[in-house]
Amino acid sequence: MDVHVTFGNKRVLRGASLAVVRGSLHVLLGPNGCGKSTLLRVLGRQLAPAAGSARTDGPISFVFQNPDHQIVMPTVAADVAFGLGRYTLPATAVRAQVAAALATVGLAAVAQRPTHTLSGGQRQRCAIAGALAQAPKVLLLDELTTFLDGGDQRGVLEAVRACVGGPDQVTALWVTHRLEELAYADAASFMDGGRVQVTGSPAEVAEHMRRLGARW
Amino acid sequence: MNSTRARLLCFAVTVGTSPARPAKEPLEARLLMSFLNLTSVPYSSYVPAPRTALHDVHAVIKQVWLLLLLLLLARASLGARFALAAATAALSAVALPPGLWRPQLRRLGGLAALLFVFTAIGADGVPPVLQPRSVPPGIEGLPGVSPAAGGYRYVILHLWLITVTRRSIALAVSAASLTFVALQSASLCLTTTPPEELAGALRTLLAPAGLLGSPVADIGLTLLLSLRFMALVFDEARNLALGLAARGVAWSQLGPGGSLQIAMRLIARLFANLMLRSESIAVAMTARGFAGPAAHVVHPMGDRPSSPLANAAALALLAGVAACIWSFS
Repeated sequence: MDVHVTFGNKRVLRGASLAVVRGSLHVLLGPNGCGKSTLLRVLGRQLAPAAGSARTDGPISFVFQNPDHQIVMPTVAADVAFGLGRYTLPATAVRAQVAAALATVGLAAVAQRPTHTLSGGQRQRCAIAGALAQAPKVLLLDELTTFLDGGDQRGVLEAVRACVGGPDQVTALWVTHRLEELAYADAASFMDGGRVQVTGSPAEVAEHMRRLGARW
Repeated sequence: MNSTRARLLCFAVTVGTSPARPAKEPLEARLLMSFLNLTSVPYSSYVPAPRTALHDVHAVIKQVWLLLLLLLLARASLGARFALAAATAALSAVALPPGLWRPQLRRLGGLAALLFVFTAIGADGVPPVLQPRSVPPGIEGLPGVSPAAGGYRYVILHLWLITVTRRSIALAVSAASLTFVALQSASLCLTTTPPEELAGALRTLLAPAGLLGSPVADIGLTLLLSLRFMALVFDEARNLALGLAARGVAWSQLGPGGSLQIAMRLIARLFANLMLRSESIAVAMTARGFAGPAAHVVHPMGDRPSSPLANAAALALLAGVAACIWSFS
């Protein structure tokens, strides 16, 4: 609520306020430099705001734009299990968590493959599986489809869509530039100038952006 | 229409029969293109399929094999060294897919051959300037040394400046076989073992050092991250090389000094990019809950445990090879 973030003399967030419905996929749109990723980092507790506060369910998992930075283990299954390394868990529980996460994103068949042999979309889905294995309540997803082609983009969106809601009421906040991704959202917001300008249904946000001159 | 076709035909004939040979590319351009033509990391990474008997051997046993092979090579006779190198090459051909072992053995064989030739020529070919090679005046007038029985000759070949001796041949075989076996056996181990298991095996073997305060967990994690990001370093270098090739640099006009300057800038840029990536990776690791190697468990997620039969066979073979070399050395 009313989050302010300043980098040096530059005010990146100027009172950004956002409420996301639990168990929904919420898309956050906006032009370059409007503060979308900064707001995500505040919500992920990677950045302390200068003023205002952020309140989310927990645990939170963050998925970054470039999967090459997020995937730290040489093979797929071991990477998905990496986030569980901080807990003291029996091997059977780890295997079950990893298998479930890989099945959700459709990568069960490549569990033993070296990560550097995956395609861009598969790598991004592997990063999502790594986040899911930690059984998060909130998924923060930062421009996952920037480097992907149409097919991989759909695969990643469908993987995220499959994780949202369910008995655990997983919530996902998806930052993107691609307007067509609104079709997968339950709700959306449009940011500009360090503030959330509009929040509503995907159709309402799309209409607002059309009025601003956006086309797709 | 007909005139256009005739012109095209004339052009095709001219192109097809042109006697002009293309100008030879400068060395820098050829090096750049040969790097860009590499399709994968020059050194090996894990290959899960097809699964071979080597995949079923425990990672600790493979690392013991690697260590003992080097020790045995140091003690083996020339013939045994050559036999060990040949056995490593044969095992690679059996265990790895042809698309993998052929280029590997070609490159490594070339390197070993080069090492052999240069060591054979250079080890005894240049006499030390300060050491007198002529007979001391005090013993002049003695009868000449009679030829050795059985045709023994220390100097095997002497041709103008090139001198090859028994000592240089022994040294060349040692250097070439040691290089070949060390690199190819490590490559076999890397291609048939998941990196997480290799790091786990290293931690197991170094555990006694941990009692003395060595940072065993840090060493294991460093190995694991090195194996993971080797491909990333290669990709980063390749992207920079691709950018350079796309600019169409006139290497012949730059000369050696200019080429060296570009190479140094490229290396500096590569390190800067890798540092940036390292920072991003560190942020992502922290976001995933990593709080240091000692506080973090790496779960090996291999789908098949090692086979007791394969482990026993590998240990028995190692004992047999060691016994042979020990008794014949």
